[in-house]
Amino acid sequence: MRMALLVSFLPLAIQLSTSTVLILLPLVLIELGLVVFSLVDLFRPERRVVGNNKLVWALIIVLVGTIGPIVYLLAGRKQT
Amino acid sequence: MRGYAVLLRKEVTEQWRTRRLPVVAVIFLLFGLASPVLAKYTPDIVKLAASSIDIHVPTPTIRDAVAQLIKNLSQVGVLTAILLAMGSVAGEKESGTAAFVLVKPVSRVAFLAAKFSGLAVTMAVAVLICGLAAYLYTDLLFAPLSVPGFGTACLVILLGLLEIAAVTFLGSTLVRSSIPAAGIGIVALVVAGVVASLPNVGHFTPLGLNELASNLALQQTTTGWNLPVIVNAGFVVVALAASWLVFRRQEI
Repeated sequence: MRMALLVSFLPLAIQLSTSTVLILLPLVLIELGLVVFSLVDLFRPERRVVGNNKLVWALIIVLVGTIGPIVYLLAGRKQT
Repeated sequence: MRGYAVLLRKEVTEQWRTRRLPVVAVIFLLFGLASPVLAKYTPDIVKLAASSIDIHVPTPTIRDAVAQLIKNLSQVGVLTAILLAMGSVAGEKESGTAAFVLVKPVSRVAFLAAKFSGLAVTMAVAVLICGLAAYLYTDLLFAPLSVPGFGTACLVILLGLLEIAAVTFLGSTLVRSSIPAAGIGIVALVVAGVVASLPNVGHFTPLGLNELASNLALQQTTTGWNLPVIVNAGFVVVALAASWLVFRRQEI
């Protein structure tokens, strides 16, 4: 879903003015930041996750749009 | 409520240290920024995606930005409220932390009140950040919204989210595991969704409040909404009172 959205934005991005790119930039950074932060947190050696399967959580984070990192960060981590 | 202040401080610190508060704030920030942007650029994306077909897409207005924000918050905001509330009591019972805390000189009502207050603080901070971001981007892309109207709309949205959180919190008190608690929250959400679509009673549900939030943000008429707001706030109180009735004699 995320890739589809990025691809759909691509032709539009080429025509965008600098000010519009600056408006869109925080969104892209936050979205990518959430994914990167979730993956870094997931692969910390001491991190324990619900279901004990980090690979499944990695797939959820990467593939399930914006919802993936949200579900992982709020419900996927076991508190140590 | 013996020990409430200490427990509330512990809850807020815990929300911060477990990164729940910053994570929820960032998620709400994302949707606050994204809503006006999506409203503004969706027609362009549709035109690009269907360039071979002649589609007339109306020019987006400030109304679309507000509608998009409310739609996003009634989906992701509600999901976040359920995810936050589902483990608040059940998780502590499951891990044994609740028993450890309750042997100290604190009352059970203070334990529950601090748990829900901590959750409410997180949701309030998140809605505040979302509201500020949405206000800024709506101003940049469309026109400025009325500050008092939009601020009140954010409070109404927060009330709706707290209502869903309170029902999930009740579920979390009833059961010993987070997943069934989330199930109770989702069932309540589905029921609220069905009731919201009914005439006359729809306004008395958290999802029904979305119309009031939209009217407030756009400075449209809001007469006749006092009773629905009071009833919705009453649901939060009833859910919390029921949680206490269940929890006060529950074996931990």
